[in-house]
Amino acid sequence: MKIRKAEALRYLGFRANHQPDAQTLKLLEETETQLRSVLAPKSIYKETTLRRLSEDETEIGGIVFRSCKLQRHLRDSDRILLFAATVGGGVDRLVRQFASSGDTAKAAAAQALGAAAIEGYCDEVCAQIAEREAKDGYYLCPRFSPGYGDVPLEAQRDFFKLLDITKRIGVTLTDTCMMLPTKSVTAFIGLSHTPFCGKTGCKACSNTECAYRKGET
Amino acid sequence: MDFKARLGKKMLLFDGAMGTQLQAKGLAAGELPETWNRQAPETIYAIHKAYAQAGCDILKTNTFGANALKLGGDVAELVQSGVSLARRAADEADHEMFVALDMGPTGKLLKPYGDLEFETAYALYREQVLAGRDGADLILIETMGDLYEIKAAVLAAKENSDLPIVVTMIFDEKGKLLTGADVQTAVVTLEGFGVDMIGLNCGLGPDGMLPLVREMARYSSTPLVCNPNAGLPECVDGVTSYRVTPQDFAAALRHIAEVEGVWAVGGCCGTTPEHLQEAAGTCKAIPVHSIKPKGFTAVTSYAKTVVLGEKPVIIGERINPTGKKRLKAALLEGDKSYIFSEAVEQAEKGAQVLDVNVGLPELDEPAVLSDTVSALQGITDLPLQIDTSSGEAMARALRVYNGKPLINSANGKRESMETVFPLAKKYGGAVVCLTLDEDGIPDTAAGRIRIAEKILKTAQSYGIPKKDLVFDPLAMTVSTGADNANVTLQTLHHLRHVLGVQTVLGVSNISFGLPKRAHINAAFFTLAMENGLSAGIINPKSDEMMNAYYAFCALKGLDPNFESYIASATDAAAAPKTDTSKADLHAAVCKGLKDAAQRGAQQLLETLPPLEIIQQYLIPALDEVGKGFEAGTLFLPQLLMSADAAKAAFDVLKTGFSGGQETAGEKHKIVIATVQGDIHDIGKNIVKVLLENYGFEVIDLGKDVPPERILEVAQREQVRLVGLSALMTTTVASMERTIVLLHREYPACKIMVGGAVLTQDYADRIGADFYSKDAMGSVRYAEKLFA
Repeated sequence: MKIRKAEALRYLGFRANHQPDAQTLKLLEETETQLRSVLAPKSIYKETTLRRLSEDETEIGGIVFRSCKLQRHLRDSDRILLFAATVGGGVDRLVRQFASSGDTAKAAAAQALGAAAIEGYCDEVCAQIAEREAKDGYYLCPRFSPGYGDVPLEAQRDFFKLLDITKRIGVTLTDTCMMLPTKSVTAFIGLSHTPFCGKTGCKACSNTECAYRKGET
Repeated sequence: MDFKARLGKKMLLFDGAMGTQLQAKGLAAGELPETWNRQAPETIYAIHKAYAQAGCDILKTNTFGANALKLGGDVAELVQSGVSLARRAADEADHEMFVALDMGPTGKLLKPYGDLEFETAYALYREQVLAGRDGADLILIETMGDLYEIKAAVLAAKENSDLPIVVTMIFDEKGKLLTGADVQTAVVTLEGFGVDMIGLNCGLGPDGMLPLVREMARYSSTPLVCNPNAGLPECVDGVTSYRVTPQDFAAALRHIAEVEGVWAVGGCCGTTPEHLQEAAGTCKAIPVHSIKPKGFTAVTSYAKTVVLGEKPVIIGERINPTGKKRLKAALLEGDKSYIFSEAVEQAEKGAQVLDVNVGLPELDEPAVLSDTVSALQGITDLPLQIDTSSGEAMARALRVYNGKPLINSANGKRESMETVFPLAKKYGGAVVCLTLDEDGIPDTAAGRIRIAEKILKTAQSYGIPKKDLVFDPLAMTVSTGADNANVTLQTLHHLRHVLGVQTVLGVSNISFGLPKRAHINAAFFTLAMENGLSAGIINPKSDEMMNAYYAFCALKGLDPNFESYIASATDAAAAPKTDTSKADLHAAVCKGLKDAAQRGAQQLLETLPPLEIIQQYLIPALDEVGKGFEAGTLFLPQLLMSADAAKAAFDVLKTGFSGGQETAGEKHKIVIATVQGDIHDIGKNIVKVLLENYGFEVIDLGKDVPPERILEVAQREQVRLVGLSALMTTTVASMERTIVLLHREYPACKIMVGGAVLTQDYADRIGADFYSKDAMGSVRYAEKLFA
């Protein structure tokens, strides 16, 4: 699994023009070795039904999600996948172990590398799905997760009803709709006959003050 | 005939799927199957009846998800109707049938990994058991992926009913539970809980399960059950489908039923009455075999097993305050991080089990022990040895323990056995048994052996098998009796090789009163291992002890290819542990070098009092790094490495303060917490370390903390500053509630906030007194406030 160092550095407060020092690189390297030994990636996805009811209502798998942005994201899609993935609870355990035994720097590094790991893993699984779908002439839209844009985080509860996430890959929801293990992702993935051309990632997000925003700002 | 009496007489057949049957009959996505017990009882009954007619012996009630978390309310009603529907179908059948009260996972992850309290999980299952026990013949706890949640369910079943308990778990194709346990760990742990059948269901088809069933049979002395899916789920036109046909399913299930130790089979997702009818044909006539008890001794954590009786096992003795000033102080202050670092270091040094003893007269031992055991389980995957002489402390710690622990200890006194054995029987565990009794410690090997025999017999009367007893022949100080070591070794040899039990020894007792104790300890440790020691309670941070251990294992053929020996020798060569070179404390902190910082502090202590070291070296170094961070020339990892190095130096200096007085003045107290509903605590932890380095006393309330709790502690401790962290937009609302409450009830207190989604504007809107954009910001604000 690819863990992008640049991504981890961004979570640790480095920006594109910042060169990490040797000590930081050593920290990341050591932490990554330990992190890799506890990764337990698992994913699940299935195709479900997609119906546009109005400009801000989309029925997915029989459940109505209210959001303009999701609808716009899926505008060219005529099929949809429900996707969930995790790199497992080992990362959370490792972070806690570091943090609680006087290794705050490693805790922060493991946290950042874990976040980069789950992104890398999702990209890998999605690339495999994309390859299969390409044979039928379909393109994958970027992942759109509950909590993005105007889709409330509470949509996680419905998302979890549609896909057997807890049983199959061990991801659970807290009362406040956060996922545990924390290094987990759920997402809608639209399938369309044309490549996705909307904004993606940080550029698509309206929180321009976010500390982790990539790129131009 | 009741279920237990029927067990083992013939192969029993569980029914098949309920959920996928209901989906085929129109259960909508997201609809709870249990609600059909009320809305469409005849449909449920018809499914049961079809399974009865297919020849099944056991019907699973439609109550898999009938817990208050999933249903909201109506648990009692839906469980009772679920049981009575199955009961009706069972009673009308033309053959003897049993009803299994079905309980699935809560859907939540238990603390410390998740947000569900163990006792809350227990209460959820208790509610199901109380509602469903009348009318059921057994309780089936199924599709479980977490041993801790299984423990909550099993305890709820045991404490609230007399019904037999069957537990089936969901393993992945690598043979692991979702929380990481392997097959052996699951079997050992569940046998500790004392369940009637152990097995697998869901997740895999019968072909995928066969190797796992075989592995289970290798370890299990308990009958097995296996309820596979009709193959792996596949997505066909947006619908989850299972494609193994009834004929193929039955043929494959037959191989499982033929595994020795399997006494029941059945089906899970995707199986239908047709699948089970075919399975009845292929499986029901297979004879069941009696099960050979497996005699190995083992303890477990949530994820792994340590077997006693193969290679000697290292039990780390460091978490025990006797004679340890620093640990004693940490326990009295409630400072977990010191205990955690002891745990982590011992594990790194080769400990395979950790002894946990918090016995101090000043402490509420039952509360502190269970709390410490819980907390340790969150950071280590080593099994623990619960070490206490208080029955109450032991009971509470055993209840929260996730796995099968070592229990330290019982002895030959009647009172001791009457206290410890029932607890071991109820919660599971291997019991350390000291060979002493009402008359003290016998001087002779024969005397100690007699006590061991008495203990063995008594334990068996409690239903505790020989394999779950680990005998301690007691090491008496050799300086008070020249024959003391010999008596211990003779006892040891007899216990292990004649009586055939596992053994354990607190090794370092032997050398009290002698100089260079490590030499005596290491030699005695080697002698003990040669005489049959299964596990030594030692200090794994002592090189002499570990060298003796690795050398012994290498010499006795217990270290294939000398891997451990060579690794330990290479480590020793590489480690600059005897580095006595002059270390510059200031530079070490600036560069984030922990070892050098510790060494530097140690060296300075020879000439300077701790307070001056702090003022002349540590504070200036921290300031330099802090300023670099603020100026954007240094980044978070560097700031943190320096903070960790400084903290390590502070820990060294702590030993330099006499009389427990840590600093000259009273420290300023700050309460910090991640707000209710939020589980992200890395930012809060970073702030904590920095504040502590700058001399503030931080009361860390952890994550997911209710506003009322923050208020209560802030008021009680009279703090003037509270720090709140929230990572998600959704939990900023909870931050606002906390601020409103604190400002209303305790206006004297200032509140600083931080977190990824916060901005100055946002912080102003929710009424915070200060917005800290990064970790240093909180330090600067605190400095200003308390100046």
